[in-house]
This record gives sequence, structure tokens and C-alpha cells, in this order.
Amino acid sequence: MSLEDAKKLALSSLKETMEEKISKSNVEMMVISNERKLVERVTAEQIKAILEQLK
Amino acid sequence: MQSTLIVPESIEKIFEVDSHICCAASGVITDARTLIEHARGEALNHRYTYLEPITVKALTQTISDLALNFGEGDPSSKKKPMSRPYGVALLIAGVDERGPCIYQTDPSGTMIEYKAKGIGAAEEGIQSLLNEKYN
Repeated sequence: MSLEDAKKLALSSLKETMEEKISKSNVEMMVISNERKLVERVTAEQIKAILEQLK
Repeated sequence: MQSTLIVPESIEKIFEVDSHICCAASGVITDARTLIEHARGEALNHRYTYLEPITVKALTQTISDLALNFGEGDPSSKKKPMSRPYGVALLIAGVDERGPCIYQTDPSGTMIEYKAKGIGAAEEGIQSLLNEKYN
């Protein structure tokens, strides 16, 4: 499973289980890639882009 | 969110512990901050002593130790012992020399390693979805 797939899986699971409607303002995501080994915040805009792919 | 007047950015539930480890909390978030402050100290101390980043397992163990020690207190520390258990579950994720890993800790101090894990209110729903879709 790639990092992109993992991000999508995380957000789609949240989308199905969250009480309120998921949006870029009520989820927070951090990512650590195998290559960079650094904690990076996924910005609201990036989250929005992934959420749009899920539709 | 309870109110539209809340500023969403002010609610912190994911914390960076070291440059390669971050941590999500569910439960009493103020207790999580105590544990994470401790973990940050341990991570920094490990770097200073051994000149290498701490492994995720070792860091999780330091948090579990603290959670287990409530009522007795850490003998090496002058701080007063905690009189109640820490009411928080943590999901600690990081990439170390072994590769990526996720650990979960709970108020009892148990630590379990997972390939994929969700914690909090929707834990059961998330976990069944992950069981189905993670490969």
C-alpha cells in the first residue's frame, strides 16, 4: 500500500464513521514518509484535494 | 464541533514528539500533554546520549512506564506522583531504522504494535474498515 493509498484509506474511514460531515476544517493529518523520515503536516488544501477524490 | 464559534485550529489532538515520531491522542487531552512532554524529553535525551534518533518502541516504553507508575511516582524524579491514572489513549507513529510502525498505549500502560489502528469514539467502526481494506 502506497502513502497516497494510506492517506485515502485514513480519510475514507473517517468519512464513514464521523458523526458530522468531514471537511478540511474538522480533520487534521500528519504524515511521516519512509524516505524523508520527517513529521509533516498535511495542509487543509491537500486534505480538501484528497476528499474530492473520494467522492 | 459543538459550536461554530470555536476556532478549529486551537483544538490540538496530534502532536510532534520528535522529528520522526508523532502522536495522536484520544481521551483527556490535558493528560496527553503531560505524557508527550515527558516523551519529548526522553527523545531529546536519547539523541544527546546516543547520537541517534530514538526508536518508536523505546519511546512508547517510556510513555507506558509513566502510565504504569501512577500512585508510586518515578523514584528518579522529584515530582509528586500522579494520584490517578492518565485518562488518555495514545497512537504513536513513527519511522525508525526498522521502518514505519504504529503503537497504541492506554491508561493501563499496555503497549501494542499495529499495522493499522484507530482510537477514540469511532474506534470500532474504523478498525473494522481497516481490517477489510488494509493490505
